[in-house]
Amino acid sequence: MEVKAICIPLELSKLDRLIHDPTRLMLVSFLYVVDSADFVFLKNQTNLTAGNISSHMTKLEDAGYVKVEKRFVGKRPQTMFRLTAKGRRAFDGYRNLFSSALSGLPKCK
Amino acid sequence: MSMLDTTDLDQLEERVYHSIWEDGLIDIFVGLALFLIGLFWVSQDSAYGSFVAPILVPLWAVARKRISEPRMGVVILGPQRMLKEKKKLLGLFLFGVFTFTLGIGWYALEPSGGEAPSWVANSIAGLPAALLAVPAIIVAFAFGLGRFFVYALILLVSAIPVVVLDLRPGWAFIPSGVFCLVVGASLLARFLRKYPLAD
Repeated sequence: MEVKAICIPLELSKLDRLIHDPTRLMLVSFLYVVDSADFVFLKNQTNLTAGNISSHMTKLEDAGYVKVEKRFVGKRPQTMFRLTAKGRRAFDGYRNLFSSALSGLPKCK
Repeated sequence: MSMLDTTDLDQLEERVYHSIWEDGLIDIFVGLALFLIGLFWVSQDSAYGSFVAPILVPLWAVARKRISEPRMGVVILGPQRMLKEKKKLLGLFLFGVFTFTLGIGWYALEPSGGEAPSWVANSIAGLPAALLAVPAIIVAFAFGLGRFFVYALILLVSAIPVVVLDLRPGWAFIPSGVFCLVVGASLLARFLRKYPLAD
């Protein structure tokens, strides 16, 4: 059987895997278009579970992409998330790289 | 992939922005303001009407904090959107100042009581509602709240019987206020069902 060579642009291998994950991509996209948002807002907008958001945000925070601020509003705890300058640069870089990599892919028939 | 397009990020930002107005509280407070101002005007206590907005605006902020934010969450819009919002509010403020100056100027320049053209004199009772329809249209355009077009239309339509039957101008505010209140209440009910209070 003849295996056809598939030409995948090398750029794809350079993609930021931390952002490339679909759930994190969604969270980062939301934070990119606002200044900051709290946990409840992100949960409502993305329909993700609390545990899911927590685990992904921890990864993004560890990478320095997201700043997390915990506080109390009255008796309610509030966790605010904000994309850092590093996170914004990483997302811009990811978008540019992904767009150029996609444009290099052969068109589907 | 399309999620990464600038257009899609703009759409995402629009979606986030519109979610802020989902709670119907703005409609309830606008409706309450129209209703109360109309009521005071009709009952010849129109001076009380001037207290309505300064009381209701802080109450609206409190209601958002107590009702909306614990359910829907908190979002702080980006700097570009905030700048846009400030420009819109400035536009509304300038419109208010312009209208106020126009009204004061009219009286100042016509110390004899005003020899206004007959069509103006005949329709003067409907003028406040018609003037208020303008900021409602501005709000509809500027904030993307299509329902404010309907409120503006009701204000304009309500002004007609006021002019024809020679009623007090406040009568035009009452049906618009009630309509805003009903729309706001139904939006709030939907909002409360959609976003139940988390434990």
